[in-house]
Amino acid sequence: MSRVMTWLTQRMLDLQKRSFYVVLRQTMIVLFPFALVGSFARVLRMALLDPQGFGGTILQVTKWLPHYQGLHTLVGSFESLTLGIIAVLAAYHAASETAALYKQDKQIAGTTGLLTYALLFLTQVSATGQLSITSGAFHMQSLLYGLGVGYVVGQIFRWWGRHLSVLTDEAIIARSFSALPAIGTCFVLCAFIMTGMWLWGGAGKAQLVSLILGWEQHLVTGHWAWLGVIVLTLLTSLCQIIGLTGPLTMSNALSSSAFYENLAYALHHSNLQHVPNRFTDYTLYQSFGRFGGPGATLALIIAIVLVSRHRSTNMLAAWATIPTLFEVGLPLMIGIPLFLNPLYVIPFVVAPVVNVVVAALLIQMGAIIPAVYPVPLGTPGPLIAYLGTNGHWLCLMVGVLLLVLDVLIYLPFVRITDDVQEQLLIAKVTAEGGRRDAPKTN
Amino acid sequence: MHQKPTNSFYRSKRSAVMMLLLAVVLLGGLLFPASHWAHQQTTGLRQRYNSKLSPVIMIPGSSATQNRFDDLVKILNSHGNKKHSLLKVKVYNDHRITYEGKIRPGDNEPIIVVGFENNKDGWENIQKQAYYFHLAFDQLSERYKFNNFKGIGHSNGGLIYATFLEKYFTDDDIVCKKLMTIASPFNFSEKSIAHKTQMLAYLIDHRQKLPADMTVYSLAGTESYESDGLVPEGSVRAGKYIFQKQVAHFTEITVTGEGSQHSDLPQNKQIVQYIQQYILDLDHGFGRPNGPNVADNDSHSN
Repeated sequence: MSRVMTWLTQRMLDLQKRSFYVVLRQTMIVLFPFALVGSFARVLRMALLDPQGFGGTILQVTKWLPHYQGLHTLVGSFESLTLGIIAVLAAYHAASETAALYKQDKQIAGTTGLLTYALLFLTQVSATGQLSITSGAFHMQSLLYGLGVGYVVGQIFRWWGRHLSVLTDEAIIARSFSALPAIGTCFVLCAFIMTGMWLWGGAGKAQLVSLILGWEQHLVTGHWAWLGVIVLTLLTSLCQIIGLTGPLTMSNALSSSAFYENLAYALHHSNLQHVPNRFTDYTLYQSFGRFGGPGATLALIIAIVLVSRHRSTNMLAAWATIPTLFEVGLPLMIGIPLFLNPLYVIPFVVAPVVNVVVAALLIQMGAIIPAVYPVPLGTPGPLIAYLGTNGHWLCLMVGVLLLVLDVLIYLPFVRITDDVQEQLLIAKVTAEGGRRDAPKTN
Repeated sequence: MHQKPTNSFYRSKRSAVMMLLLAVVLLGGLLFPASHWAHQQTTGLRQRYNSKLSPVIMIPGSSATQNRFDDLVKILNSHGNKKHSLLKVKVYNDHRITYEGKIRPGDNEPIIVVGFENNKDGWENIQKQAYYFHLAFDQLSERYKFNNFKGIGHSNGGLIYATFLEKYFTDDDIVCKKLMTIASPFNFSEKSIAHKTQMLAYLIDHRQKLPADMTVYSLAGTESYESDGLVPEGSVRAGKYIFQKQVAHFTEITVTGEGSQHSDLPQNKQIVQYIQQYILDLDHGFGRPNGPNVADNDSHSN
């Protein structure tokens, strides 16, 4: 074990030296508080204040909470301006940190990064080739793009900016002018890309999206549906840990034809054993694959509480519990960070797949029934299967069982991360002779 | 190799454990209201899915009340084998909703008339009335759990329907099968499409929101060659810019001759025939749903 540990530590040390990784870490640190606030706002809005959400339907908040509409808008605006623009903020910070690495003007680079990202994704081309304004790509599912664009902008500043040390004595105007070549390069590139996206056409993008969705539908119907869902679960988790939108988050499980077929069958007959589509993304992925959002991260929190020895990790788990319960995975994504973290890729991808496989087996054996009824927005993960089967107790038991399994899957990786972090700290201390810049452990 | 845990570590571990326990308690606490809701929802869904109820919902025109269609309903019930119950709904400006009459058990095609305290003219009022109709419709669909309905709007009633379908109606659980507008001035008193009123412009702009599976009949009456005495024919015809190519089928019919003055149209013989032919469900004629104790001619307007 110790040889594996040494090998892992060495790999992580190498990784941490790479400029992209440094930028990633710094950006995550800065974004975290906003991600946390936004996540709580999101939970509050979805689960409590939204008339179609959990609170609206089950707790009937619309009936007894005064001014709930105003509150809904107020809280929603907090959510929109934190989570909703987190990719833009990531672009700002990534550009700023990258520039700082090369001693360039942080603030100007950061602003350029923000504007470049916003420009690139502000306009959207519709299927008919019309340019229009959208904020669709600013939120948490475009985190990778934000980071990537920021990093590229920072690199442009590295080559085309003027070193800050040269500027310290000069006037403000001189500082701005010296940044112009870099800014200009960014914007010109941006214009090229935007024109390219416009010419290639929204038709191209729309076609791609509908191709993916169609292929997805194809995968989850028919005789091999169970395999299709497993594959899609794998792909979705993989995409999400990279910071992209996965196939199963792109589509809405509640609007698929399989879902309606199942619902119609269930409303007509009462026996749910023989619904036409027993293995769909709703019956498997939404019901059991996501416990606490992508990657079954609720299990991660439990694993951390059980074995982690680091103060900051435990604090993070405490803060992230409620959002993760309501399937908002962002605090853990940014806090640990899970995002682009090679140490957690395996459990993040494996746990949901295990859940889906076990659930499929149990449904196949007739031990539990598939979920067919729609559940409101913001329902906590563990309750989805229970409510979706109109109160089938066994589903709740299976949920607990799967959670235990997932915790077992995550445990070794939490330990490994703990150990690697300690080793890294020791390595840094010895390498830099006492100067610490790593996050404090206890 | 491992550092000795400090106080701040214990604090952090304790907070993490407490949050987890809180989460468990929360889940447990939510379990019972949640399953209660789930049972209610599935029962409701089942009722709506299996419901055979398919009401005809009528909206009268300006300055008219929920009693406007009494004559029409009498005529409809005197022909044919089916006796339709008449339920009259009134929505007040303060959003209060009152009911008069009832739906006979076993009657699958009752007629529901929705009138408003505010029955004035003008685009402002039409929008308000569309909202009031939305409130009434929500209550009706909750109470009676029908999964489809047919609509008839006379004069401004048709405008209210168009606005409601574009602005408030979501066809998630309920299908609007057919809509008949009778002498509805989609361009108010403008004779020509060259001058679009604000309302017409709005209805045309948002026409994609109309249900695509709906069948629409637009009926115009004419006393002269140009109007029914109140509404220019050109204004009624403007409806085609709203419905054509948006809904499944769109048919325009012009009615002339006796009884084709604007306010006579709902009782007009031809229009009654069209309602029976196109809007009402086909009457197979063998046996009535609730057997021999069918109400006689007068009980529909209790």
